[in-house]
Amino acid sequence: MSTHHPIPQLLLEKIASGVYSQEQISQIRHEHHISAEDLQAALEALQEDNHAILNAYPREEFTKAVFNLAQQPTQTTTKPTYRRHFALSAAAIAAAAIAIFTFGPLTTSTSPHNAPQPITQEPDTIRLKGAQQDTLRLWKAQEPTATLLKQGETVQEGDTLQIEYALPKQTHGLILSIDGEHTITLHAPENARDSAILKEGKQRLPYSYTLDNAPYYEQFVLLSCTQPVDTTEMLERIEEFLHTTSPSSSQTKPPRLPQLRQDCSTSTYTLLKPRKDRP
Amino acid sequence: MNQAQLEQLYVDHGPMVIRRCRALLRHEQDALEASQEVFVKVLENAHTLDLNTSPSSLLYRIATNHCLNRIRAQKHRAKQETQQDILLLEIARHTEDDTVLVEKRSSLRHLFRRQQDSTRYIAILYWVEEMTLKEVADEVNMSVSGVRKRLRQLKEQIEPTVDNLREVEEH
Repeated sequence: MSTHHPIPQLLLEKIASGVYSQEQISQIRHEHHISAEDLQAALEALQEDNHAILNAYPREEFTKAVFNLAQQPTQTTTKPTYRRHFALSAAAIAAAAIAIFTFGPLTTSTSPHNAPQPITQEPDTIRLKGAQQDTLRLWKAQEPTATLLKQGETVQEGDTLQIEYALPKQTHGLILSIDGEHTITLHAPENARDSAILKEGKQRLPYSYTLDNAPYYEQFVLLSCTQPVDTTEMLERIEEFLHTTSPSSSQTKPPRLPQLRQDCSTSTYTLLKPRKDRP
Repeated sequence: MNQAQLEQLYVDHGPMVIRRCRALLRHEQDALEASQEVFVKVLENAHTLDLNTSPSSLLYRIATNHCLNRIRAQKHRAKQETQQDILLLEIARHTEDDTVLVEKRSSLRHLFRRQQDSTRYIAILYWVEEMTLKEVADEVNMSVSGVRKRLRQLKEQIEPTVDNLREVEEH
């Protein structure tokens, strides 16, 4: 007898693990219209698959790889992004012409230079003695070296960037970027649920960031606060602000973020992207 | 957690994690790497995770969220269509043919990105795995009404793009 509704995989896994009582298993079978024979067949197939997996990836080999991975201080994989998109209506875009849309000057507290430097020659963490202010810098990966990008420098889709910041002391804060379509990408912390702590000294984020095809600019923002930050709440505040502005096909500069909270300051670093004509 | 404990956890639940990652990533090497990363997370957070009550549920959830994040990262990095598509496509796949789906990927992807991890997980358990509201609620430690509310809100957003999505149970 074939089932019309295969048993949910998670429930099957849990039955196989011995989590459920016979009564609970009967209830699951009833809910999902699974016969005893079909369940038994599914469990046997699962058991066979377990054996095949453990043969293909023996425990010693697998766990050794896990321990090795865990011991790496930083991973070079691309970060999982927390990326939010806004579906802007035509009306909202049209409203851009009259929207309150102030543009931030391309200022920075850094003195960027673009002499190519091997990125691997610098330690990831350097204590900055006497660093007076928050600093954000962007490196463009160009194997085997990386180039420090100037504020306002032009980049393009596909460029791989690495973010570096320097703080005179540890703070609460975030690093994010806003592109020309007002999409927000969270860079640090890695996940919105993680604690939003930015370490003292010069730090380079352990993952790269590849630019997509959003037009006009990518503005990186270092938000530094004296009090703890709820990442999700802060991102929502920025979203709300961006909703009051609109990406415009005629503009190439990002909006200037307002004071998000009394105890927070922002440093920005803006890269420009070649304008793309949109239909 | 020492090596022996990790090995036992792998023997007991590793195949499930790998199977889960295979199902989501649809690429053997990616699935293996993601599975190892899942166990790294467990190793690093062993002191805060409750691995005694229901390790299957815990690892299944960590694996699902980790693979979804990996999919998002890869999509962002590559900016090209791959076989590793976003999970809402799995939801949609139950209701639509692939030709229609292609046209809807973009909006679904954007929509899915904006959901909380817990909402995505609820959606997957309900619409992809076809678990009941009660079963989903038990898995995510929420009330049935809470799960129903999340699903209804998400369904309202999805419906303009995906037709014939399974109705959210009334009771």
